[in-house]
Amino acid sequence: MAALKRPGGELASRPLHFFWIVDCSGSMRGEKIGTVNHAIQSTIPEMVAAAENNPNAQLMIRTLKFSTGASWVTSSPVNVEDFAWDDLEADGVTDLGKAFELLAAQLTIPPMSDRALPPVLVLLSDGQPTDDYKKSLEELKKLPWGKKAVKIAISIGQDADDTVLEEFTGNRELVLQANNAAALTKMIKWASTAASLVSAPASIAADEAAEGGTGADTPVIVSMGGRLPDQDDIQDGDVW
Amino acid sequence: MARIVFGESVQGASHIRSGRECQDSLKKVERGEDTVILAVADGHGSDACPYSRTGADIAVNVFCKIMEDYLDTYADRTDMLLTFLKREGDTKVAQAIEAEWKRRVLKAHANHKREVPLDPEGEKDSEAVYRMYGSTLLGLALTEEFLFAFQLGDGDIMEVTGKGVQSVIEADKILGTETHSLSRAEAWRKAITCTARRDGKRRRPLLYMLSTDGMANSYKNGDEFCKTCADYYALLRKHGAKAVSDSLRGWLKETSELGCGDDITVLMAYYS
Repeated sequence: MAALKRPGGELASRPLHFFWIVDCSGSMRGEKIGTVNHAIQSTIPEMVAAAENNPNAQLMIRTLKFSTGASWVTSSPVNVEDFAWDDLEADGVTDLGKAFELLAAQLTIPPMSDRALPPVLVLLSDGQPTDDYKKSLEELKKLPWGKKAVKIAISIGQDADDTVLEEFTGNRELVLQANNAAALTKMIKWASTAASLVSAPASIAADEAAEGGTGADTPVIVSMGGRLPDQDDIQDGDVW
Repeated sequence: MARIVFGESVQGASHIRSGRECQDSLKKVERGEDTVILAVADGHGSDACPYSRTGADIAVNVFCKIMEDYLDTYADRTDMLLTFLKREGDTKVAQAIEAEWKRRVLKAHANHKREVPLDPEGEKDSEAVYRMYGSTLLGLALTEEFLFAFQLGDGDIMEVTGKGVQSVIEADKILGTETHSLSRAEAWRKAITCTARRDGKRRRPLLYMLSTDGMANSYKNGDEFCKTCADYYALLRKHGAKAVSDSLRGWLKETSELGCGDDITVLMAYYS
């Protein structure tokens, strides 16, 4: 008898949504936004290579910018292989709440799939929100994927409001400090590697994840096998 | 033969790439013509759970042993057993499974002379040992008169007949890579069970299919997974169990490669 053909429906790798959420307010003008543009651009080849090494996760990237208002730079999720970075410009105020609103709309099911891997949200900001962000952050964190998302913040310069960023991440250790261009580049590169950590399909006991991993203060990304970046070695020199 | 039970457990495509062993396990116990006990378990596989394959092996053994004990204890008193499982399935039975799994985990840990972590007070930390062996557990006991299904963590127990595909037990799905686990304190509270009367002589052909989450996660959505269950059933009817059993391993490997990359275990009981 001829070999039987594999039965079954349509197979698919699991989608993994990665979001860059970038503060483009006026205070980011100059070296800060320039470093962000250059650093994120430079992470793309490494993210493509990491995605090629894991064909069982479909890495999709989107960029959300906020200043006076917020808007998607990429109107829909883009496969990492097709992702190109459009340089952002800085001007206006810091409407972080508007960004959370747009993000929440994309983290609902649908358009998100319930079989996706946990989304990765990377927020970069150098200032304080100028709108009422609390309500929209609460709404975001109430969403099933809002709760499960891996949330990382990069605090740019001395004026960034780390309290707000910690409210976003839910964990102080995931508010990464970037006080100069070298540190910002390093933190952006580290954040980009979170996608490959999340794409590994190892399971985590639910309560353990809720507690943050092996201890109450341990970020869940650490229990996924990640290691937080060393924040001390590149903070010397010029400080924003 | 009126009933055939078979299954396979394959190392996931991503586990092959990263050199990690398969952390799933399966077991079947056939007791004469009337009764079969099926169990599959999925060791978590995260870095915090280095011995989760052992945890999964222990889980399937524990379920089968405890079900056998109940069947022996209530031999010839099926109605009493059914009443007991219905009333106490998600309490006493689940507690017994958790307790026995944890007892065996500690024993295995000691037998391998593995180090026992200490808690902040310097005492041996059993909870930390359990975490190293973290696993889910799906179990199904089928007699001619009733079925008892048990689920702690992710995975699926499906029933397929000519009328369609349905879940035997509806577990709450946790998004992402998290799952309930035998390793947690009071794990039994997350167990869900189902009992139902059945007439083993009727409603045939009939397929029961237990699978770890690597199977369902490899399909585009729940409908595609259900279609897959129906397709397996159709193949069993058309080509027989041996033909399906012979091909199953290759199919599951392909499913993992083209799907989510996780380990996949499928265990089927087919009543022709």
